[in-house]
Amino acid sequence: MKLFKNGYVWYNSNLKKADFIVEDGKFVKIEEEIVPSDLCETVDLNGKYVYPGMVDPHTHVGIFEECTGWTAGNDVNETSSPSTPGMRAIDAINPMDPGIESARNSGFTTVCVLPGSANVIGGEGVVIKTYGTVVDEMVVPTNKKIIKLAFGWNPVWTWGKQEKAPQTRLAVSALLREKLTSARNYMAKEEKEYDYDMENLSSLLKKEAVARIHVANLEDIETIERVANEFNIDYVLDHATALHTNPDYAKSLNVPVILGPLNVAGKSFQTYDLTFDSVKILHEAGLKISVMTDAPVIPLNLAKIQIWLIDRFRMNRADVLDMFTINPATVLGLEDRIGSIAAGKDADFFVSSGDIFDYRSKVEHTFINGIRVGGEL
Amino acid sequence: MKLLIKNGTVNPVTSPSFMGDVLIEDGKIIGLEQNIICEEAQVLDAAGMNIYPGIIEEHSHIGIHGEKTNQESDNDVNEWSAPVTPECHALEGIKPFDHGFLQALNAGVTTFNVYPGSANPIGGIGITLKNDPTLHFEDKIVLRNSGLKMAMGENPKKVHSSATKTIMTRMGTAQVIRKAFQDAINYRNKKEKEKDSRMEILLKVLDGELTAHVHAHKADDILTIIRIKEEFGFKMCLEHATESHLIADFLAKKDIKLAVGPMFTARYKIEVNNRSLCTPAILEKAGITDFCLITDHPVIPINNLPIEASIAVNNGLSEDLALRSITINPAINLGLDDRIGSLEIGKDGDVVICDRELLDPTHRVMYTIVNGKIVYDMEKEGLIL
Amino acid sequence: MRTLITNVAVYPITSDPFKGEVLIEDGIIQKVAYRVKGDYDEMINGEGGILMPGFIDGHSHIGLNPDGYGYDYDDTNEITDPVTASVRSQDGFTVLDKSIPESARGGVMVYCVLTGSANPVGGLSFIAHYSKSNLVKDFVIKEDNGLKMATGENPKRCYGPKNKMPATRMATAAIIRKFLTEGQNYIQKKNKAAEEGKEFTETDYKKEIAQMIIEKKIPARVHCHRAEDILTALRIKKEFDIDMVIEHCTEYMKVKDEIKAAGVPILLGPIMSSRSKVELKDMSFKAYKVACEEDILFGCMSDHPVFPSEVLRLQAGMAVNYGADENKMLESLTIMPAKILGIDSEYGSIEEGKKATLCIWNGHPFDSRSHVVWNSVDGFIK
Repeated sequence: MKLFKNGYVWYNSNLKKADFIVEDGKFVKIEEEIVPSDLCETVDLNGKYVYPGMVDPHTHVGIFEECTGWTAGNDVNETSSPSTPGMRAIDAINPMDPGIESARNSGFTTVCVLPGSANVIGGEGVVIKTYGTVVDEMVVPTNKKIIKLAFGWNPVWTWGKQEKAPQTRLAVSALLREKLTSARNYMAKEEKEYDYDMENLSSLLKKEAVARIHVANLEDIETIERVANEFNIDYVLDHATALHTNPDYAKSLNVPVILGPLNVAGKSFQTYDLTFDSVKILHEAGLKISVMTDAPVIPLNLAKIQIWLIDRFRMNRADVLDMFTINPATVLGLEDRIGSIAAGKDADFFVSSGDIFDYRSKVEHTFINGIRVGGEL
Repeated sequence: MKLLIKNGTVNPVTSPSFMGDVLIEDGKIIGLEQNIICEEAQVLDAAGMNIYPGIIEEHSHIGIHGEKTNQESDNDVNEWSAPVTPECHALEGIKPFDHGFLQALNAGVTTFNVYPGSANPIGGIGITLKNDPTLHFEDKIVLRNSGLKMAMGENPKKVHSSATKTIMTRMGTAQVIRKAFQDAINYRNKKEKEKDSRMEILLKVLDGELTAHVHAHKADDILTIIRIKEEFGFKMCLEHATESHLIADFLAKKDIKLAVGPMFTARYKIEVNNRSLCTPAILEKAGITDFCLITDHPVIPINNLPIEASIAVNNGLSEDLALRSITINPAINLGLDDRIGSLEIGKDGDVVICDRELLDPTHRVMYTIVNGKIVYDMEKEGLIL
Repeated sequence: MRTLITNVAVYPITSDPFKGEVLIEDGIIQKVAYRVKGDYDEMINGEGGILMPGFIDGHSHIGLNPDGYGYDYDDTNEITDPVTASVRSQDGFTVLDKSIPESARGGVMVYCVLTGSANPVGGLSFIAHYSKSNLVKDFVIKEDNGLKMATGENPKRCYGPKNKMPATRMATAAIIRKFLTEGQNYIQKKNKAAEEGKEFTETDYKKEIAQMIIEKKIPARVHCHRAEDILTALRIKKEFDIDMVIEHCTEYMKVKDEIKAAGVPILLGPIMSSRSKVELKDMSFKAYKVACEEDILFGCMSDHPVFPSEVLRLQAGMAVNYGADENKMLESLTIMPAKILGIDSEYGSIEEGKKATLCIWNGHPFDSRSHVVWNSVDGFIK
């Protein structure tokens, strides 16, 4: 049992002077004043700032390793086929990826690792804490499986260049419809051979899995809506680059939206509508926005630049912080465990030398499950 | 035409900051002190704001790397049909209405330099432009030939081992460069010859009229091009210089400028494995204080240029040098410090006004002023992020 | 809101033109008369112009390959399999195409958006109505209204050089037959499962669409230029007893009797373009004249962007130039394509009860100097 005293703690959407107790990897209580006792070790934070461990709901860390060159550490896309639902990101995660290290050293304690977007159906993602050497011990179990899908130009460029389907966006949705139909057939059969691909697609149909869909254009988002309604599957829109061009429509969809990476320059048609305005517009339309880095597109230790650039819109800073903490935690279905400092939740937090909006602050300590795992000191 | 900026915190960079005013007439700074009175001037009230010289980007691909468009049609960065293309000029690849120009305005970047890419050991000539949207394209040019872009390391051999099959290793890159310069010397020595514009350009480099700007990440690539430089005797600036912090003491003794960055990319290729946020601070400690920071837009967005300065400060760089590295230092690097890079009487009226300190990344650029004209007004145009 | 359009020459299409007025409410034509009695909230003064129904372009690829966006944005043809029955043109449609509002300026307010003609069996089309919205769903008036097929040079040009079927017209026909036969087999399989009281566990997306064709739920929209390709299509129609529309029908004049006997509607065009392929060698505007004289059901189509739908009306004007009946050509832009697309209860003429999809022209549409000054979506166009 540890008592952390005299910090400025971010809890209940506010930065307040507070003390908190951590025991068995969980927050036990957070109060303005907790009297130290002999039963627990006391750590004096000396006025430092304490934030909940940040959550990035869309990364490729561990499977797209930094410092390994172009190919050796790149296991993001199983491009032996445009449809690979049975692939599992967990089978390719290297916990020693320097990208994971810089994530925890900068206060990111939980990330969702997804297969890439070269395939229409990429495979199964997984949520991990950003510390450990054995990935199975880092996994944070989710109620629903996570299945990565992709619309738009990534699958079209990857496969069209090889003159294989999908060569146009027409075939992206057709392929998805065909595969989901095959899964329906698979489910209806009484006698069948176990098939990894069909099992994962069936999970989607049974709503035991949620689709995380990479999409940029508004018309592709409409196509996703049509296909999802046709097969009655649950989905999240990832990137959703042009969604802000019709905020009423965005609201009507009533699905979680994860924006980003935004601090990148628009180098192709896929980024035609790319703008930080999307955060402001969709937030003001009433959506709960999460923001991703798509690491290593933006390395996680530089995610804070996105926080600062969003701050240029002078929105409520509590709302901005939510986009990197409780909102992504909720999208992952893990809001009971992570995403904020509250009694009963995992003791995932970081100690910063100053306010997170102050560029001179450093992440001095990062804690996962109550244990110090990183930080600059 | 007079513009009087009043009541702000003025940060000239080459002299101490003060609370006061800046007066610009016909595109030049004519007043820089407290309580300037000028009846005929258009007044810009900068109360509570911070005033800086326009920021300068030494290394970008704004306009030649098409943005928000079809890459096949609009990406004109690399003429990879041959490894040595000194005759290619960034001027002919720039699309003047490209989004990058607007993003630069919002970032407060008033002058930027555009290079060809790094696929070729000798890629082509760079060009420096003023970011003044009221001018026709040709009138924006401040430096028609800003340098000869060259490249070492992984990119040339990756591209040319398949595209032209002329270079497979770093040894090949070095020899291609040596041969090109030797061909130029042979050309000069010929008595009878037809004019060869490619050779003329290489001779300009050898004669010191045109500086070579060499893309090099790894320490060994830096050392190789320094070796070649000293063999032939030309002027050089190192672009990226990612591992410069590993050989800082050696570089401090050389008369070679460094353009450091982009600092925010992932370490996605081996030659940037040692990319560090501490590089600027380490260079400063070693006595190298004339380096500039670069974004290589669109590798990272141009509005990240002052943010690189902020992150460098967070990793040990002095605030003073951080500001210089995005203003006067790139100006000196380009040989334009008589005109831009600081707020001084007689220099161009290029100013950026922020609602917070420039080094605070949550600042908003409220006004960007080029040649004494307000070319970006945040209240009217909104953030271009 | 009740809107009165006044001071116009009304061209109802299904009856003679007259100087009159039209009253619209809630997007429906309420009254068409010399003088409309009763009150109204808004008046549109046509200033002596011509009021026409919005034109209907029965065969277009608008939105699938937006102007100026290059290869990246071209979703017209999925050239990876000769049978792509399950793709939908609706999934490739983008409102970014600036030719959409330009077409409205040229009077075209409704278009059937089809996939391309690279594949013997292409994909499902949809019918769109011009809208100012940036959502595709606000354009859709009818989904999955037909299945594109193609004969002639295009399919064999796309696959033959890759050493894939079809390399000849024979294989194109064989592929279409195989697709339809599989549809018949599929229906039998389903019936068998139903008889045996078993659940059907072999749903196949492509075969579902073949079933729709066999059961005449939707027509086959078959791209044919040359006479022999038209005859092949008609032969297949007869063999499988399916509904069909012949697209382009370039050599119509050579097979006009067979077309009439088969009772198959055709969409003629684009004639106002170059004879870029051998199969277009005998392309001529005279085809429209003959179609008018033969009094068959036909539409004048653009095949946008092969020929821009903004100037579809000029193609109809050129037909008149070559002797076609002017009124019939106006019908080929309005009521006839409406009938072919099965939307004539709501579109294609100015009649009470139909949708108020209307344009006011400042001159006759066949005169290239005239253009639309007001339409029911944009209002007055600047």
